[in-house]
Amino acid sequence: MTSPKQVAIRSDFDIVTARTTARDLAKQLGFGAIDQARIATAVSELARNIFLYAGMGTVSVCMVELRGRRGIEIVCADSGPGIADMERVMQDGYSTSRGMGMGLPGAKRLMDEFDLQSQEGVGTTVTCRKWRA
Amino acid sequence: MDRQHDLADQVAWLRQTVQWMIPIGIGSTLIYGAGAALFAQPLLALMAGTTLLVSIASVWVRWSIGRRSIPTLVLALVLALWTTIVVVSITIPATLPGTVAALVMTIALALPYVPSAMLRWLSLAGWLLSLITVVLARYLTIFAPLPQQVADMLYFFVTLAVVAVCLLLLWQFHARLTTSLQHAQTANSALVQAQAGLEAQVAERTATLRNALDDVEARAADQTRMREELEQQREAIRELSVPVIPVLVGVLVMPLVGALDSARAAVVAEQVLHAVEQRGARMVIFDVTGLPIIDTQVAQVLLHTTAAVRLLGAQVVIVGIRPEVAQTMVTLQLDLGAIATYPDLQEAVAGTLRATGWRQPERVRT
Repeated sequence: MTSPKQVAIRSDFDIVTARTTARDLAKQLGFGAIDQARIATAVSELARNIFLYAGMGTVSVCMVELRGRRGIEIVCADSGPGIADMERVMQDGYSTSRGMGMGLPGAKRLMDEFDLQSQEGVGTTVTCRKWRA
Repeated sequence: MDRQHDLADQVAWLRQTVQWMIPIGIGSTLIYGAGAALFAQPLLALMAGTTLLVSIASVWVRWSIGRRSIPTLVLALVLALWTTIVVVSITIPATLPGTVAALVMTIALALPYVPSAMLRWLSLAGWLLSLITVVLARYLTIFAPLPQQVADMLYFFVTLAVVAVCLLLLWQFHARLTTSLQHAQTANSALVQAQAGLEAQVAERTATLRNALDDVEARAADQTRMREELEQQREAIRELSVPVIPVLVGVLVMPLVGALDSARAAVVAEQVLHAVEQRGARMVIFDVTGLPIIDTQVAQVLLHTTAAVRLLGAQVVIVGIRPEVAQTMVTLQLDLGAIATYPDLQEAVAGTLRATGWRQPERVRT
């Protein structure tokens, strides 16, 4: 595991920085164009969630290795209001803002591994990984 | 520190004084004793006795230095001396002037060692004692007057002793004074040095602090400037990226490039709607070749803008979705609904023209 690159999310622009960072690392790790797009889009969705609901948070991107396979790990954390109903939030079409409700379930489909941890009033952490084929 | 210094000095002086007195006392005792034996003068024997008393007192004081307080020791010495003096004065009226002087001298001896209060009492006692001694010596005759030889010898020794002690005392005073002055001067120069040192340190620290402050201020100014620059650049980027290009009469192309944050999305919508209205466009083509990512936010922007444009009576078409973006959109289950998509601009224009049965007018207003 290399040291993670962290991007603080405080504005719209930082979302772009976060996904560019993720995409760059994916490129370095040898992911193909489609996987790069998937990773960048997932980061974009998750970072946008941070900005929309918590106002600020961090996106950490790093390489992971398991049984000889290389992958990318993305951790999006915030100290926002947290998620009240974790099950509903993973259903397509459910949105507590006027969004499309595709962010979290979409990101899950885009990545290989997806883990959502949240506590109301404390914050939310989303960890996801994608492995190189 | 000074008090301890003083005390150590006092002890040293006292020791020295007593060390003089012991030989003098013992010497005198021997001489008087010898004299008494030789001349069979009980008077001399009495003298020997008193000097012996002084000698014993001196030895005792010498031995007790450190065990008892200095004023106590000095008091003992003074009392021993006074006893001698009184006895000598009374028995040998001839020595009266010298002995009275000696009485006073003992107080001078005690001066450096006793506190002022005791000194006052001592002086008073000494004065009274001299008075009594003079009176008694005048009117009390115990012994027959000494033979002239003996009296002279006595004078001689007494004077010698008194002078010796006087000189010793004077020398002590001088030494004490010089030492005190030296101490004061050393302390003073040390203080002056320390002050100079401190002032130098303060000046140095102030300079360092001022430098640090200047640094901090410079950095703050830098940061403010950089923030302003950053803001300006962001503004410039926003402005850069929303051109609307009329390709044919009634057909607008809007290339979307880079990131579509919410501010830019608003500008996009504004530009498009304004252009549609101004030029009477019937078709708007969004060229998204330059968008590396289409996420839910971008999709939302496109859908909303499309809805608004439709209300103005124009159609919306999207061209330039890249293969990887297409994959992502499917995974995200993004549905662009009724927006038609074409692979490139040519197809888009041709397709729409066919669909709407549009005929190019004779004169093209450019």
